Amino acid sequence: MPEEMHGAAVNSLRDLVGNTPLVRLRRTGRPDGAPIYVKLENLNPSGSIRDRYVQEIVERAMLAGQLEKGDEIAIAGIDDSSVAAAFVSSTLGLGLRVFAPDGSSRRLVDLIERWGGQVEWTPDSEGLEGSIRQAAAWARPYPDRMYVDGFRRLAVREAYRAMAHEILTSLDGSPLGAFITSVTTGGTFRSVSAELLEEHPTLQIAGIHILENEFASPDLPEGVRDITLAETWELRDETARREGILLGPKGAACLKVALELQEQLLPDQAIVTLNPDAGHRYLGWEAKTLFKATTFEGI
Amino acid sequence: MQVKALSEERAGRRQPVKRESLLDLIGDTPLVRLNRITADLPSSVEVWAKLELMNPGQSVKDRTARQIIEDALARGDLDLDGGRRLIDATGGATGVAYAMLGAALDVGVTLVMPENFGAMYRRLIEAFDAEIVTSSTEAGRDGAIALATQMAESRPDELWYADQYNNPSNPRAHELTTAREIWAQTQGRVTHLVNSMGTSGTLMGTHRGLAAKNPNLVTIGCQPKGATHAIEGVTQLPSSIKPGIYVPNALSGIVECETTDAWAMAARLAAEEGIPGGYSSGANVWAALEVAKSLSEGVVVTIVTDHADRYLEP
Repeated sequence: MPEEMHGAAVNSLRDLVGNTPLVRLRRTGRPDGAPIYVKLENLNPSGSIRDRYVQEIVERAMLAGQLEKGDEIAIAGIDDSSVAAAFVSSTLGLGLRVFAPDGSSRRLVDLIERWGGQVEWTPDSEGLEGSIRQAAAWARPYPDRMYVDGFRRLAVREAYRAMAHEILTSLDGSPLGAFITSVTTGGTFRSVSAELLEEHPTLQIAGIHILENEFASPDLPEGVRDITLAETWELRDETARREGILLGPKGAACLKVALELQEQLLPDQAIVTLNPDAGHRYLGWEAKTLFKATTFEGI
Repeated sequence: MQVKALSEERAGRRQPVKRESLLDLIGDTPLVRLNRITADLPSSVEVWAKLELMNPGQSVKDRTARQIIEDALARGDLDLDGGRRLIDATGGATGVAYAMLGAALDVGVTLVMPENFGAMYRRLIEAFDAEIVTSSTEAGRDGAIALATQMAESRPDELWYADQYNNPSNPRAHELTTAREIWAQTQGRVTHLVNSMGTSGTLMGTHRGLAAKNPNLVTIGCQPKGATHAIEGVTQLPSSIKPGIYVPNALSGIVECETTDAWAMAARLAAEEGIPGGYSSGANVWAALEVAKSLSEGVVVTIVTDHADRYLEP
């Protein structure tokens, strides 16, 4: 019996990072157009795509002997990455400190604490830079502490390359017409697309960035489109009502591009669009202030 | 240099599947061995948890709702052409699953919930565009059931009563899927099944499916201690209307769980095993450990019913 017929049997939740499913949208877009598949990164154990690279970074550090069980890691900012760090450290027997400006949205704080992470507030006036400085300063003098930033390039690249492989595996030979991701600095966009293009040279790669994203890189890759947050909520609500699938704002942004590209593609070419995080974690938070800092982040 | 991502090298992982429908995404959830919280047990006693929080609607109720709806469609009680709406009483999780599947299939859904039940459930149900009818807090779960029954009886042309407490499709979902998966995932080694009961559908159906394969299976129910417990989703059967699908003699025994033990175990599950389960999951794992402690060897399986996300509030 193939494994997918009964689910995996694993020794730890660490083994459940990645290999997220694709699901087809049935009642969105043109019924006779190219099929649109959403890659549900929200079905990673901590609820977002960030599990992939955070786990890769921390496990590489453990393999290299830089970290061992019982040690503590630090990360700056409250966002999907620090939720992922809380999850990953819980499965590896590590402690976690999250340093964040005290004006940050509390949207993801309960989750971080649920997985045993401890939040240290830094002065809001010093911004995220201040949190990064304090996290690094907290970790630097001690051999059993490590500051995790998002710029361990090899780990990040490899984690996203693995994702490209998954997409190709799950398509099982059917032609891929387009891949769509949300863009902040363009990391996912570049790493995943390079890999996919090797096997599908005619593939359309599209990125979209949300205009309110204050962390967006000033030199975004060519051809990246944009969308307002208000538009993403509209598309999210419509998709929930028509499909029973609750996208996050970035996932909804990607879907907008998928619908545009459907017009240009042949009906046998699959469109794969990314849903990077969990839509339900935004419910009730949309109108609150200081919401952005937990929605957008680098990589 | 080609470096393989560490995550690519793991054995026994789930497969990156492609599904043509949301309904096909339900089930085939992972089974994970509990390690740190079982550190005091001999290695001959294994405790495994079925991660129902990894269903698309984040709970075991996705299976129940899918089976109830599919069976109703097959019988013609519901149809896909804008016929009757589905109505049921819910504590929340089944309601989210009905609402999610109702949106996917374009079937109207009406849910009766006590006023004080989870705000997050309400937000989700509304996001999927299902209708919520609020019953009184004082009348509790039984009051919601009474109101749903009454509404369905008075408007039979508009409403079909799904009746999860008495609908055989509820345990059938688990007999057909949950039990089959656990049997395969433990390679037929499961000796004990331990779980708490809300409608009792999960435990009754999984028991039936597994006992058909292993007649020596020992099935233990978990009950909250006292009628005034605060373990969401779990029913204290002596003080409530008995579900029609509950078969007491399926059980070899009952373990009673204090609310505080359930909550503490839910916290340990997240912090020590990385499993973000809700409170009933805490009760289930607590009970599974109690059973495991009494064994010298065995393979104990319990269920992580839903995700702690549901209990977080903006």
